Amino acid sequence: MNATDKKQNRISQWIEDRWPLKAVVRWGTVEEIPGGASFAYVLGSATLFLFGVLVVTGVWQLLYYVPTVDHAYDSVMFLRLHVPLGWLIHGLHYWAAQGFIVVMGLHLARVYIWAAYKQPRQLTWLAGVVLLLLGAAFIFTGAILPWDTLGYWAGEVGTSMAGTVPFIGTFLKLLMRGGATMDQLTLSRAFFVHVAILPGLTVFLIVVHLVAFRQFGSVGPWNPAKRQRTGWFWPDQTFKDLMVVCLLTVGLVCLSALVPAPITGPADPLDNSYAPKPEWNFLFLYEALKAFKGPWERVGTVAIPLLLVVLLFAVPFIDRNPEANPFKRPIAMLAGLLFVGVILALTIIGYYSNPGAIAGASKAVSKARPVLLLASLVPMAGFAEVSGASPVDPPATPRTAVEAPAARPEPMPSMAAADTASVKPAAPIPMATVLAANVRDGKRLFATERCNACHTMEGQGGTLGPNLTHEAQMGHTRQWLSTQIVDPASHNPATIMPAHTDLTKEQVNDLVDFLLHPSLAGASQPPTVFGPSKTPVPSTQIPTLVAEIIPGQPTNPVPSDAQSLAVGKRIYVGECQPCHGPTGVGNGPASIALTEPAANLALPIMAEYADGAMFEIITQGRQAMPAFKTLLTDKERWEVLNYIRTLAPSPARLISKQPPTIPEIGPPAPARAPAPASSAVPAPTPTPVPIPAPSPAPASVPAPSVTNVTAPSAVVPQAKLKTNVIEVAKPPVSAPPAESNITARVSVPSASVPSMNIEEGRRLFTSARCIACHTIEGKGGTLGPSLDHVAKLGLTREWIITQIRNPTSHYPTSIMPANHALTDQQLNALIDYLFNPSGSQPKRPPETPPAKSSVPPASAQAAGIQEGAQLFNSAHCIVCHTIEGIGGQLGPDLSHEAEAGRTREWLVAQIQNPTNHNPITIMYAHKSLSTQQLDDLADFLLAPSKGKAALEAAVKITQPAAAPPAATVSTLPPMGKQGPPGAAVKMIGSPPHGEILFDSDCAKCHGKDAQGGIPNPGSTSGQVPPLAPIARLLFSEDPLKFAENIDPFIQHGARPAGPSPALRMPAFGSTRALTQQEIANIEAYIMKLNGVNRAEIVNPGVRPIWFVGGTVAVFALGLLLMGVNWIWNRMKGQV
Amino acid sequence: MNDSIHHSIDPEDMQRRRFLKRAVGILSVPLAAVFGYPLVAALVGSIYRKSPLAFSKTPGFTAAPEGQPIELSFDYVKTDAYLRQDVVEDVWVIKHSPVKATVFSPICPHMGCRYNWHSKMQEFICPCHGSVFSVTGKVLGGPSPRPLDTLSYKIEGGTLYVEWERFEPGIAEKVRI
Repeated sequence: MNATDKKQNRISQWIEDRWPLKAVVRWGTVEEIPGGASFAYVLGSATLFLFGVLVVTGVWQLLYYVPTVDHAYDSVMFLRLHVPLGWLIHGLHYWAAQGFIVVMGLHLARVYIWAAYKQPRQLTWLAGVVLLLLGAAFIFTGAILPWDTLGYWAGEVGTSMAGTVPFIGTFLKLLMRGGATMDQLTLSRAFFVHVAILPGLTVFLIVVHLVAFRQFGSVGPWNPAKRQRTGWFWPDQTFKDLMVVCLLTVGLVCLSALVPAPITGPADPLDNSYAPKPEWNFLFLYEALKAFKGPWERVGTVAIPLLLVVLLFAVPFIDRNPEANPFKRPIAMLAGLLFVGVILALTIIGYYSNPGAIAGASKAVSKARPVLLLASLVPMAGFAEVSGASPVDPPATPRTAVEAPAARPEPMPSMAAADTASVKPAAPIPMATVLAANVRDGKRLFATERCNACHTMEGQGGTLGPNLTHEAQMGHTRQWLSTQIVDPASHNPATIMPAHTDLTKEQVNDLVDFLLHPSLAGASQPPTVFGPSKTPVPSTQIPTLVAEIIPGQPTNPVPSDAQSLAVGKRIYVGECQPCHGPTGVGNGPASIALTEPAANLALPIMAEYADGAMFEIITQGRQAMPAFKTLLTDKERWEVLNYIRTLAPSPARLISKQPPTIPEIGPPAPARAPAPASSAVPAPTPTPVPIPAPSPAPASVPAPSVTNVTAPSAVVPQAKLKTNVIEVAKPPVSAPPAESNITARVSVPSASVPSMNIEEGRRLFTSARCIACHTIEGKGGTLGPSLDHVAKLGLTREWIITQIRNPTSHYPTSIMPANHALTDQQLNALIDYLFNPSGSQPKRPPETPPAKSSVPPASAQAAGIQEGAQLFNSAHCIVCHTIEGIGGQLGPDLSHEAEAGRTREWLVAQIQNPTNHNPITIMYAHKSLSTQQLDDLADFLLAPSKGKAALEAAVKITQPAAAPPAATVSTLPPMGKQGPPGAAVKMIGSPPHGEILFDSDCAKCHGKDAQGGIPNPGSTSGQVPPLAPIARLLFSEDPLKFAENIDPFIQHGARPAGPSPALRMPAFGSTRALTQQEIANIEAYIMKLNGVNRAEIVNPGVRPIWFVGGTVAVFALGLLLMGVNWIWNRMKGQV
Repeated sequence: MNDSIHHSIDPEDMQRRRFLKRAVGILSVPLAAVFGYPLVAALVGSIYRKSPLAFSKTPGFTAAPEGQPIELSFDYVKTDAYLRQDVVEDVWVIKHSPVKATVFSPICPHMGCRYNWHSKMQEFICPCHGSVFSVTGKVLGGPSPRPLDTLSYKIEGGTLYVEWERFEPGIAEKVRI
């Protein structure tokens, strides 16, 4: 022992001669504490300890984390899922951060009560307040880093709030985001601040804080008598500190292990099913913000936080009374209590308050899909400038579409309704006008809420859901429609339609108005006036119409001189010409891809538009036209307007001569071109086009014989098809091949493209879901532009690749999702296909035998209807479809097919091969039916009332006597997994939320609590399998394996084994009916029902509960040793 | 050693302080263990991770001539920590029958170069250091310490699936990297 001591002494002496070791140790340990050591003084040390934990766990996370938007989330999940004990490091960092704020708050309260901020400790206090603010900054920047949905929205809202600071707000917001939008540079900035700037500042201020503290020491008890006794920092206070630190450690480990840090799925700015909730630290601020609306918003976003900070800074200067006893400082104590009380109360209210945003939605619905809080901050913060200035249409970006509905904290009329109200005269408004206004708002909502992504309305929209053009004729009531929008599962538990609970009651009403009276929207809707191809409106109407959309019309401050025209022309060529064309008639190269034609700026009627009105349109954009508010300065917009004015003949010239005939080279828009004539000629048998096409003709002009195959009914306006006469549409009118200046720019000659690539591209067009929004070859959605004529647009391959990978780089307001998943090779195949869509026709069976294409004789038809009615039951159509009030609700009601304009051919094709009409339909192909049977079914569908009796009879005959016997132990149905597991597998689901989702989406088929027992005629087992207990082959004790086993079914759907199962599992993931997080929640619930804890999925290394056990054990051992030490010490003392 | 400057040298106090100092030492041990273990585990544990193996569909096998080495390439998704990349790899395949083949890794077991098949000589020759292998993979000359590395494969419905993996070069044993 002695030898060791000597050696130690020698080493310390050696160091002492070269570095003031003793002095530093003395400075760190020796402190006389008035009144002795106390547990009241541990809070500062505890804060320091937590900071240390944060530094170490933070540095460790840097081993794995990368701050890029495409990999940040994956890298965090890699840490949590694959790095041994990475989950614990991440959890410790998260919980230590929460603890850091709590303990700092307690420390501040303690210092306030003990009056430790008074002379001479003012600077200690100030440094402490700055440290508290740095803590808040840490929380804010740290939350962004995983780039999950929560972090993304927290960043979006936080930076938007900064944007409301007077004068420098916009600059601050841009500075924080590194640009106009939340993207890579935002993440880089958050990372830079979180790991470089803030830690540096914090360490510096901790040193300042500690130096001041060591200088002036502890304040000690306020009772002078108690101050007489003194104690020592080392080891008395140190021991107490360490006890608390140990307790904190056990607490942190327990929390990290048992309550995993939340992570909410990769950031998806388009995901409107998710609205983030503010971190608890900011709840009080959120609640305070609610009190301020309109122009007072800045009070909430800027003034209140500023006031709080100033108050904290000012405490030592306001309260200069040297008295330390809190009982003799009633005002200070009351003020402090009030401060804490208000913050606590606001936090608690904020925690429990149901977001006011969903005032319109019913309580039951809000329970099912909790609309979260923070979204309601956004409009107040982010759009304060806009809403404060003038009531204009919200810019039609997807972000707005996401935020706006959930936007208002209190029940308010929708933004759209408010706009209309603000420009309406105060005089009594006729009911019809109100209805028309509602219908217009409804139409707008139909687009902004992206209903049109799935539903077609008046010939536009997607085809995933049913066509809604004829809702009024379908006999759906207002109530039914409202419920369908807010809670579709109540009508059809297996629906994949998302519940739009974020809409206010008024918005739902507007939508229903539009669905029931769609014709009213078109009649007076301003944009229809603006289109060039429409009949010119009498000029007297225009001022009124313009006034309706544009409240305040600024006048043109820029004189239309040569200089301004030159600048205007330059801007026009760059920004406008691509769509509006060089002469303004709307024939620019990009116009061909627009669903609505670009406005014809050369029409004489354009001169009637006021400058202000035109300026507003340039500023705010409309439909496909982007808003130039941020892209061009005010002056530039006026300049380009001056130039546009030169395109249309002025009124003066109009008087002197006839308007010049302007060549209308409008976009061909073949998909919606009316079929000029119908004929009873049977469709010729298609012949596949040999590939590569030997003729040098442009690929987009298809051979007529082929076009007929794809052309039927879908292309023909429905009004034309009310008879059963077979109509064959003419091939779409394509642009003549002689359009030399356009076709010359086609980048890839069709003949050189291998057909394999085109086939691959065609397949990708569907599998990558381009088809959900874009029409090609007569199929697909209409949310995005038709892509039938890409080759004519003169686009380069690089341009298209950029458009697919990063659409906003071309169109900042594009709602097209970026696709990074496609490989270069796949992109090339896809582009080959886009350049040459008809280059390689897939072989298709002839859809209808020509012999059956004529109208059968009446008697045969009557017999067919009876047969069809029976088939409707026996072929299980009835399980999904209702007809004349009988049947299921998974698919659309088929009672009104004839009125909806369906032809026999269309129906037969739909039954045989539904994916031909809608590639992502969940209806399956009934290939086993004979031609005769198909015809009979179609007869029945076209005249259901005539076969109702037969159907009723058939249903009674085949009514099962009893439910099929339940399978005792469910086995894995041999259904093919149609794809790989999704991102949900990696996510931590919440079983309680999963239960709610399960009840609304799954329970109707899988039974309550997943017990099964629901009959599924035509499947091998005769019923939908129970999920609790789940099929043995799907079960695994390893939660990750379990999730991987069940995930593909939920993601991609499945078809049960059996000859003709009536029910099959719809796809929830690949259709985006549920978000990945929601799927993870359902999976967590199913696992819980099977006795597996999903939380264990994220814990490589050591199981959390074992780590908790181990931690408690080592500390218990430590305590035991301490006890032994104490006893030994006592005995030695007695000796 | 700081005790010297303390005012009180009361033995009772000294005894208490001794106990406290030891207690601090004792408590520091579990504290260091609880934080140290996960840090070390996260740092060290992940270095022994092996990437999961999977069979990749290798087109071109059906049309391949029998008995003659042919270089076939296939795509597979390489998982590198949190990055997933589509990569193309080549293998040398010798088809014996429609259901039997030999699949060689294209990487020379000597120093990791890519070797070639010389059909005139009916030998695989590595251009880097001149290792020569027979059509069966046997070393015929040069510095290679072991025969060519074979890869696992399966043939289903006439289609070849190859399990891509790499092996440590330069040693006599075939050890997976």
